[in-house]
Amino acid sequence: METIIQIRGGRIRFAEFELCINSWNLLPGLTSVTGPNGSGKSTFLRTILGINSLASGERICGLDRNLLGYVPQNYRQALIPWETCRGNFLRFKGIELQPALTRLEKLGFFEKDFDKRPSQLSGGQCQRIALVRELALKPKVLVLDEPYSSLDKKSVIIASEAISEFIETGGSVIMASHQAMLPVLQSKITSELLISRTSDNIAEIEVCLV
Amino acid sequence: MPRLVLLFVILFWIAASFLFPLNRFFLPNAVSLVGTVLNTSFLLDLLMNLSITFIRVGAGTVIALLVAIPLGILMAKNAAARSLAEPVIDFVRGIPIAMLFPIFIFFVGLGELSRILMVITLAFPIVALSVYLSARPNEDNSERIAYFNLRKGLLSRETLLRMVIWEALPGVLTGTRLAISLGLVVVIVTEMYFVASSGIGWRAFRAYENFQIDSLYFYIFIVGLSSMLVNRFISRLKF
Repeated sequence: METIIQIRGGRIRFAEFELCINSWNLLPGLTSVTGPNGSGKSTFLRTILGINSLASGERICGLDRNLLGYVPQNYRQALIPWETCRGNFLRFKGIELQPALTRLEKLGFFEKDFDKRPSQLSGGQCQRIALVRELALKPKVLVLDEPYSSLDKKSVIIASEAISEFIETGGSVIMASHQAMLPVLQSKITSELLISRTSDNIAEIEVCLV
Repeated sequence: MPRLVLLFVILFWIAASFLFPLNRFFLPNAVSLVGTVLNTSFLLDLLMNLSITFIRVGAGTVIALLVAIPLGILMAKNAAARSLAEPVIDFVRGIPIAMLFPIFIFFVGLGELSRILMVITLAFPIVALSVYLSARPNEDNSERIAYFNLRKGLLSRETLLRMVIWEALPGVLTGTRLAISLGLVVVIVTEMYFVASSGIGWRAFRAYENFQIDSLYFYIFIVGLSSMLVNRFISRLKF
């Protein structure tokens, strides 16, 4: 099987402690990352993407970084602040604007919202833009850090369906979320990563295949 | 509320000018001050000298910005640049600017260039440090830096450069406000106490020498007001 992303003997240092993961290979489908607050989920996701470095061990990525999609926990920071909603799509190469805007309309956007800057939009609207834009960039791997934190129930359902559709077209998703997965995504889970503190300054990531 | 207080103070001062024999060294007579000020040649002279002072401050600040902004950004993005530049900036910052004025006079003589060099030397470390602190990775921008670093292959150079400038902007504005305020102080002091023949500082000192106390108080008020207006203008800039 082609390696998408793999970590071997990984130790990640952050805050006052260390996160350990012996061996992990990204599988197609949905990988769920769970753990208590402050356990290092966001740091781990950034390490998968190559944003943070491993303190030791090896990260292998068989993909061009342009094929890695990411919606950070602080989704506003993924948006270009001086551009409108429309501009936030147009500035990126390879995006088809109209399908993306249509998707945003399904998520509750109106025409006038497309000409607003992030500072003029709510948190939920900004999160939807960040998610739809990443899907429109057609990545092979999509990393989502709390993608539902500011979404209403209806938007959570629509967003989950969009993520499910992405997986069905061959994409892999790694998602950290405190919210329970909807059934449409439950069936797509192929592995679960559980982060737990084993001592004062060490946390371990347990890989469970589904 | 502050405007009401100010209005009350002004009205009280005007009333006091009519009712009490004010000692003009401590509080000029409102009526005579208005009479001095409402004079075309006084106002034209004031405008000209104030402009000259601000041109000196402005020239020095702009030159400092042209060097300090790129340096601050470089320090924020490159550890080697930071380790080289930071000690130099701290060293320059530690020297009282008045100590350098004689040195500048030795090098470039008594003239505009020495004053402008003072402003540049004062403004440069302030702006460089402000820009560095604004643009460096911190809690507020670390995820933005991380995300756009990951996605840089899909963005134009212009967008990426603009993002860097965007992050530096708060530092640029803060540094510029500080630099202008302090630059104004330095330029006015050099105009007052070192050979000068123009500028609001020079005018104020002439007023002091000729016991034109009304004018002196008015010049002080105008300098404070001008500085406040410039700062307000900069703080309201939106991008």
